[in-house]
Amino acid sequence: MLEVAALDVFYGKQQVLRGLNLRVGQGEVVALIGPNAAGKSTTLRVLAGLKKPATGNIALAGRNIGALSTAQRVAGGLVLVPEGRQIFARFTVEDNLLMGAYARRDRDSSRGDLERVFAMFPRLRERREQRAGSMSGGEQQMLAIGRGLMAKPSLMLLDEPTLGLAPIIIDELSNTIHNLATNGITILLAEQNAAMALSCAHRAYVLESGRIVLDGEAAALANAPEVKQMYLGS
Amino acid sequence: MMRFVPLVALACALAAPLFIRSDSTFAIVTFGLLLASLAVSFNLIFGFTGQLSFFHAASFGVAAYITAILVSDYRWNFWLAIGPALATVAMLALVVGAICFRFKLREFYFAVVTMAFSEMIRLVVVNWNSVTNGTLGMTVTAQPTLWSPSGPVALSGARVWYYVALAVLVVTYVVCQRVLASWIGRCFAAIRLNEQLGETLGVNVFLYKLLSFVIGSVLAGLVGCFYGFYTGFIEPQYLSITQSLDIISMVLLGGVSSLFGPVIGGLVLTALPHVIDLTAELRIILYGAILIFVILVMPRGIFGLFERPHHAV
Ligand SMILES: Nc1ncnc2c1ncn2[C@@H]1O[C@H](COP(=O)(O)OP(=O)(O)OP(=O)(O)O)[C@@H](O)[C@H]1O
Ligand SMILES: [Mg+2]
Repeated sequence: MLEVAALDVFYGKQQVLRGLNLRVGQGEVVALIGPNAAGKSTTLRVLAGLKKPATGNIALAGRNIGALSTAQRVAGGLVLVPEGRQIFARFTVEDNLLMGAYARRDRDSSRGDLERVFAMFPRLRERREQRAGSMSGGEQQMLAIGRGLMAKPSLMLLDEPTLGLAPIIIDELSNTIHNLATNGITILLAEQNAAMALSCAHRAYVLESGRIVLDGEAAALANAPEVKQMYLGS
Repeated sequence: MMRFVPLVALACALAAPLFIRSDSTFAIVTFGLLLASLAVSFNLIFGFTGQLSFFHAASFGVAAYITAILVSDYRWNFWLAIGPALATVAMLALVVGAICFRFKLREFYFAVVTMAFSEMIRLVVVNWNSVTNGTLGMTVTAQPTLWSPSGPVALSGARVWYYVALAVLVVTYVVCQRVLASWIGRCFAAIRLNEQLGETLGVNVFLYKLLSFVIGSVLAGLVGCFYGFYTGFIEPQYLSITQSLDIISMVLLGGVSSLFGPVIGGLVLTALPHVIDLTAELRIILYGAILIFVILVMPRGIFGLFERPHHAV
């Protein structure tokens, strides 16, 4: 579904991604794990069209999308849920969700899709008239994912959804990701929380200083000594 | 509830001439309505899109000069002259906006650069003596006429101008309201609240900022077209930073988070100096003191006191 080949990305003179190759198959949940400043967010931002790569190739469903704008990519089903629980704090929950449908060609009929999101996140339904900024961290993360759903994605890029959340909410988030996958949404999950990411994913890549250093089945990686020592703290 | 405030206010405004006796009261209210239109259009850029523009006086002044020059010196019909005036303002706003937003100037930097462009245009007006009559300004004696079934009516007299000013305000208000009620308005709000997130969702931040800036500036130009013919006089002061600051004061006083707040701000700030019967210097001090007081005590402005605390767009 997603093929990334030989991606080089710079911020000024500093090279952040070095010849990155990555593949996400239809219906897969793929994790991208790595330490701080490894380049996980940068990878997702490049995929979403928010940052231009110096060189490299990005293909979605066999079509080269390198030249498309962010809006065109969202309309094509590729949606980023950015790092740090980004929401419009002063919008209501409902308006936040509707904004997620902005880039859709049929956005004016998006109101009907609210139900789908509420079915998945009942707590958002209870709070639809509430100011988004007044919700708890976990609820805000659910809102950010729900907003992503409003774009009718076929591929969702989740950037550190567990950041700063309590263990019990992280469990809930794992369930959410399973749910998304059963609904036919392909997922690329960038995480520092390797334990959570590897438990959710089918496959995983380990990114260090802008390079993929390891990849394979999530279960196998979880047992690999390097990963155990570096990322699972055992 | 709050949705009906503008309609009730409009009904009152339409009926008001029945109760106003003196020409000086008419003059104050007419000025108030015209300046309120400026404040409303400014708030589209500032309050709703989050960009503190200092270009508003320039848009207002340029349009005032162009219409006056076309009508007085080239004998154009007033209504036709509005076209090139607004087209010029649109072009200027497009260029200034494109430069500022392409370089991603925000907040303080955007304010300073728009101020610099505005000053540049003012200096052109001041120095282009042969066309603008420089610092002395121009008297505008021509009177626009309005078609009516019983023959053309000249726009003159306190009552007629009161309704003209009211019409300008209504047009400005309705245009802003239509824009804000659409997806464009949501995008403006998204940019104001979290530009990066807006971009992530596919909002073309550059384009929407430019759109807001151009629409707001052209509406300021529309006010300018009429303003010179009402006062009968045009001077470079129209394009000054002080003029921009006055508009900002009106918006802050009335309330930045609504369309109607600036209407109140514009009317109150225009009437205030006439209500306070003091010497010019004392008046300015009191005026400033009231402004500071309001901003400190009511950060959401006068109209903000009556609003529900949260608002989607
Ligand atoms: N806007 C930017 N300008 C300059 N450098 C940047 C920018 N964004 C990221 N970087 C640099 O790129 C590198 C990779 O950053 P990135 O945010 O992709 O890492 P990450 O893997 O997501 O880290 P974290 O887990 O902390 O979120 C870092 O060295 C960072 O300093
Ligand atoms: Mg990151």
